[in-house]
Amino acid sequence: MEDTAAHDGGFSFDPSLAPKENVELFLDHLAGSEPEFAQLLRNHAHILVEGTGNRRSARQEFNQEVLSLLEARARSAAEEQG
Amino acid sequence: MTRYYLTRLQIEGFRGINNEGAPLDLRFKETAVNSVWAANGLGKSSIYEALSYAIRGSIPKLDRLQAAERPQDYYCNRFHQSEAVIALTFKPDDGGADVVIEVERSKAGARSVSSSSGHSDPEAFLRDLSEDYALLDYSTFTSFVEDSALDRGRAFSSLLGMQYLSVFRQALEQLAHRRNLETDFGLQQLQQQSQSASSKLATTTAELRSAHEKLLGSLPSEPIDHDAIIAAGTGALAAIDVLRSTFEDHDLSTVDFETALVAIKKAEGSEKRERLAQVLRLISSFESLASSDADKDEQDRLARLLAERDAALEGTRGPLSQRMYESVKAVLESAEWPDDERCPVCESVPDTPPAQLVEKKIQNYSTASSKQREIVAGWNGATWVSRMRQLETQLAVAEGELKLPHLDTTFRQRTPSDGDLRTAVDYAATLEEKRQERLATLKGDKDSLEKEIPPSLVTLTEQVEAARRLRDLVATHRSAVAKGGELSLVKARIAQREQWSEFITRSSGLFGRAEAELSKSVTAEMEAEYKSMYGAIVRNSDVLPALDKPSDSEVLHLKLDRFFNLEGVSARALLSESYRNAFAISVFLSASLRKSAPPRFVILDDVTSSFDAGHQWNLMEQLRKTVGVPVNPDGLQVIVLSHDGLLEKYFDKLSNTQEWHHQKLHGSPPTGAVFTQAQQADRLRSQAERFLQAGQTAQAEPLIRQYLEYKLLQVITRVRIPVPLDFAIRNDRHMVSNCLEAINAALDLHDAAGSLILEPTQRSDLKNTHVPTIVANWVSHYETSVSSSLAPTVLLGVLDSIDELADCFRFDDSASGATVRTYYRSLDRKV
Repeated sequence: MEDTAAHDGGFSFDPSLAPKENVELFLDHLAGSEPEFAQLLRNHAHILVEGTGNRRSARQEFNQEVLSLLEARARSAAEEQG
Repeated sequence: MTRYYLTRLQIEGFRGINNEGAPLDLRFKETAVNSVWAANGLGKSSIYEALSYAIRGSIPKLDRLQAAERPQDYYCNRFHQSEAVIALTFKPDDGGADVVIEVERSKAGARSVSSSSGHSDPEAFLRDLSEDYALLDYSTFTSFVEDSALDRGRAFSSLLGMQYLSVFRQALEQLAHRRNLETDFGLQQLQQQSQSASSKLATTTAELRSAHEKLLGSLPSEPIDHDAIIAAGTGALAAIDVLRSTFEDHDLSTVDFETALVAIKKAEGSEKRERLAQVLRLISSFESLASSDADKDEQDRLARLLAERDAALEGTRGPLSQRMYESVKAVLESAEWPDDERCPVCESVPDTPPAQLVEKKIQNYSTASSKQREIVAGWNGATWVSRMRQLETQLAVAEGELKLPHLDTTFRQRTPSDGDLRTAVDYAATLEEKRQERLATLKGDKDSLEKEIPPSLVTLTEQVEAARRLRDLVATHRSAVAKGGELSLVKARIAQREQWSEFITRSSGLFGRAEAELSKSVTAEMEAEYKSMYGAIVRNSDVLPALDKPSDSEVLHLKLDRFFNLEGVSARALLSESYRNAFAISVFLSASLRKSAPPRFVILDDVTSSFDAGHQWNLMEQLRKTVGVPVNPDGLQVIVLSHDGLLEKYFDKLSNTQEWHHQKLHGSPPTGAVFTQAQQADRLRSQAERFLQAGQTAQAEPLIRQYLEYKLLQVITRVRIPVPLDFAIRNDRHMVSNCLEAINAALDLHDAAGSLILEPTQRSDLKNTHVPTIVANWVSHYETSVSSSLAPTVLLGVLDSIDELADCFRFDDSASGATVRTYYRSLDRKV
């Protein structure tokens, strides 16, 4: 596991944790560099996990949430640029 | 975490178990290995299916039926009058209260779950028990071996409790897939929009600067101020006497230029001046359609896209091959093709796995298609193409010489080539030449007209037309700048979407590697255990399979660490069915022992079908000594369902020990009832009594016979009375007398040896009362077919006698604190 951590630049699962706890650990790791995106994944991952019956529609539903966030960020960035 | 044993299962009206009004009632000991044996067709599979439906909500066998076969109609027993009921009792391993869950399925197919013990969320409780290891059957193990490496890898992740990670990983991969990102986020359209708006603004700015210089003799100040330009242009024209009144109440943006021209016309009327104004407008228009340096960039970009698309197309062989590769991919990913190393088309084994080869081929099609879309977008947004369209109109190119409609069709709807692009570029050059020729002609016309018109008015007319063009360009530029504001939003959108794209792609890779590493690590940790268990089952050290988990992939390969003296040989090709299943069972049981999930039980249905007697025995010993409590105090409660006759001997042998609890099913499913031996005995006795009390001797006789046989066989089994070798195959009509003979022979033997443990009164009651009563009132009548002469009261006495006979082999045991009436261990040992 140490080797994994080294070549991935810092992330590996904790074998003593349950899978859901490990996903939380992963999201915590992502939050270090991209807190908003990590939070988005955390808030809406259930759409993907529960939507395995129709992956395409689950993915599109999830990406609608992503687009909402990206649009708000884009408008904010454009306003800052004047 | 609290874990649960399954201690009781009651089933009525489900699958093959009818049991109208009297559920099949199975009790399981939490501190023993439990076995349930039933001959074929006696409802064993229905027990497993009831557990599957209760815990997992489905029955795989019915799930696989076609809709037209109406699988929903086959959950409830077809001969049962009302809804099916499955009641389960779970005992927590922390000393807490039992949890009783009732699962019902109505005839209409509705499932309802309740808890008579008061559990607040019984459905969630069952969901927590739905671990892969809790319910294992033969097909589970077969699939594990026969599945593709990818499906096996996913099944294994699920077995290790990593299914959530596997699902999450697949979801991230879907999100990070390049084509999905392009489709869901419209990146190409945004880039096209951005490119088009940038190009438009640059062109308009250049034209505005040129027009400003022409009218006012200088370039506009930066940044460009539209209002200042209008004001300067207005001031320049308003300063001219002829035009002063025209601009009195108007500025450049509101003035009617025709009024200005009329004013000039009035100053010196002339049709030539009107013609001059027209020529000047045309000159201005043609000048605005001049080619620019940006054209070359756009043309180079199209050429590059064409080259990239062609490079991708080189790796493809047309739509038929594309369909073939997609079909091959589907076959490789399905369970139909079990060998991931072998190509489904040519059946060879290439150096690179076929899945990777096919994926690369399909990727070529995907890249080519993507590049083609970019080419269309590039063509539609190109300024030089748009200019050609205007030039064709303005130059009034003859119908037969028009090339753009054909080029549009080629670039938008077909597969354009380098040659097509060259044709378009050449055509643009031709139009440019024609534009320059027309411009030269117009300028010649202008010079001629200017010579014929007084210079002052010629210049004035030129100024008015230059002002008109400046006014138009200010409006166009203002609009382009406004769109430039939108452009910054478009660029921000692109930046954000690309940031997300990079984030999700990186996250997907990171997650995938971490999951594969974890899985590999866990696989390595359990290696010693599953190999040890496998070795104990097959007892052949020349053949040793193993799991091979790559660290960068979801797949899980089967390999052979050892196959006599061969290396690098295929496990699936060489392992016999029993070895494969022994291996799969070892992997599953080893994995289940590592778990600390809610179910502390494992139910095994007919898992020994491919085993010979030796392997069966070895597996049962592994279950008893390695997997099951109580021998392994940290182990699981094992429940084995089997129809195997040889195994039943094993179960019978162990059924008296603390480590093993055995039950046998009797009955007549699916129309009648199924019962365990204990249930059956109670039921037989009470029914026989009812018939006898009603005077229905004929109906009671077969039940009495079964009850006598049950009790006598129970005595023989419990106190270990030896029976002759041919005991089981003797005439079953004489089974009661056979049993009594065996019991008497054993009693006489121990009497003679002075080793009989029975109390003297028990021995004398047996010898003088119970055996003679049964022989006189049953054996001598029934086994000679003259029982009809017996009265009901006599037969009621036989029932009492058999119970009293059995009781002579029991004593009051107070060893555990409470006094329990229990069988002697044998005829010469109490415990």
